[in-house]
Amino acid sequence: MALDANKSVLDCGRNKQVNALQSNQLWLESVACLLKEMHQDTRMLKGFTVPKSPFGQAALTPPPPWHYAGDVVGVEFWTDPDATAATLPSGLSTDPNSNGHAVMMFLDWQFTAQDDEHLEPARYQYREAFILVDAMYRDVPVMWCPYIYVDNDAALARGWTQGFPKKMGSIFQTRSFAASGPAAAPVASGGRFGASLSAHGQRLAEACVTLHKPVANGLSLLSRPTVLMRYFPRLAAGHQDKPAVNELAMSITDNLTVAGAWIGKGELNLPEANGEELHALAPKRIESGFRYSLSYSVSDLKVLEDHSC
Amino acid sequence: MLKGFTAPRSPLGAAALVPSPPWHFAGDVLAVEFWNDPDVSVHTLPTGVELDTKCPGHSVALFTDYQFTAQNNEYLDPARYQSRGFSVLLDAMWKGARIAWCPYCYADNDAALMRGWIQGYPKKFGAVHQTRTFAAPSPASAQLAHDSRFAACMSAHGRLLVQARVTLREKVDRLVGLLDRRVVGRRYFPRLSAGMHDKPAVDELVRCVSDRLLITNIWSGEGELSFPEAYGEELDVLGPLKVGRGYRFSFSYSVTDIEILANLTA
Repeated sequence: MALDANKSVLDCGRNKQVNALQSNQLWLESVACLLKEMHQDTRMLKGFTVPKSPFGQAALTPPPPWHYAGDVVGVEFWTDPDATAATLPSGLSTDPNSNGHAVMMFLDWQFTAQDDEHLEPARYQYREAFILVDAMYRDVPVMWCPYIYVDNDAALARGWTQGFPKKMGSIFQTRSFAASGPAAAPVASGGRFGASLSAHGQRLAEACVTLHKPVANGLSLLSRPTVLMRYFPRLAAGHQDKPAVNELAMSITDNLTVAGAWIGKGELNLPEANGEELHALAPKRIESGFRYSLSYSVSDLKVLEDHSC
Repeated sequence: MLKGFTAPRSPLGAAALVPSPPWHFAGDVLAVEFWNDPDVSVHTLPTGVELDTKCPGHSVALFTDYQFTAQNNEYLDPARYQSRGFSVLLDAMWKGARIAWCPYCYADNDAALMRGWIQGYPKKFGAVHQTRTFAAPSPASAQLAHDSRFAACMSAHGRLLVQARVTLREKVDRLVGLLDRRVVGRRYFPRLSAGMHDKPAVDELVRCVSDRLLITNIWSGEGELSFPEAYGEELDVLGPLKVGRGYRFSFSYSVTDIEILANLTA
């Protein structure tokens, strides 16, 4: 078991110092190696996020650049403009041309940073569902993300760092397989893709997309930048309403690529649920459904306004 | 005006991961005392925290199975507000005061993860299980009685990280030399702006403030504990060189405050 674990770690190439982290049976050698490795940088904990650790291998997520690739099933729709306006933070205003316009997206993601994290699917694949609503930052048309769910802790930590207000959910979407058959769900005219989101035993969203035609310029489906709020509260008594971090931030995506985009009919239902406010954004009118593959990288973030106390 | 103690802040404040303090906790614990190699565990300590030279490497592995509530009957929403957790606490010193440092901590629930980050516990997701006790006698009910056995484990992302077993021997009035120190953690929130990745927005050494801490129904016995090696974790290097007593008890406490010991961004 220990040998196999070591081999896979070495094969992944992530843990350059794995030799120092032998199994418990090799404890004495392990300690000696560890101290040798640590000699240069004693007592300096490493890691982009918690938990910060001697080798920086325990952190929830490795440092940027972060690279993403995945498949999207989504529905473009119109909801109550008062409901979308109510989700906007200080610094954003409604878009007079498209108030109430929103997109619900379901993503099936693979992640990697610099050390072949994509070869560790248990830790670095994840599924996500979120809603974006049209807004304005000064005179720039943007999209604001009020609610988002993922099924993985590394994604949760990266999201909080970016300003995505991530919670945990169970997210699924129909996948497409190359071998044809009734279960293969081809990306073709008439192809149908379902998607769902649930959390803590409640169904929060369900969608279905029926593909009609390919979209020549897939990037036209992602024309506005996303604005987010990095938020981290204080717990000290008397300061619980004065967050340590409260920044309006614009997401920066490098090498944004859309491939195999199709558009068609969309269906979306946002059931009412306890402890959630997603259902307040339930659709009044559906515009379209879509499916595409997506990739991009993240190594930066633009802080628009700092409201930290 | 968006409301909520944490993200996501929303029009009604009902969507936030965690309601505002006071926070109240009640649950059961399986604990195993152990000693790791102090030459190794010293490297998990942040600046300003030292090993306790009177008991170098002395630690406790804690499995918790608990229920949470704030001010709105959250305990009636068990799917969202029950949680199972695992943490390691290492005996340490801060400016002459006996403290327990928390290098690693896991929970199976997103609200617990967020509360952890806010309190300075470096929580990640883990699947945590422990034997429970039931009032109806049966071979399956795991009575609190002499020779009764309780086990616990924690895994994450398909890999086993901790296994423990406790064989109860006697009911005791109190824990001796265990959980008698205030826990110190590190509130940490990074920046993502280019050039600032190593300059966190928040980096504070904090000491937890627990109100009305009650520990009851304490049984002590023999403990067994192992930390298998796993990719993406450094828990295994804190593994036991020697295992001490095992305990099973129930606890409750409340949180409304935290003490900031040092601002490490300065």
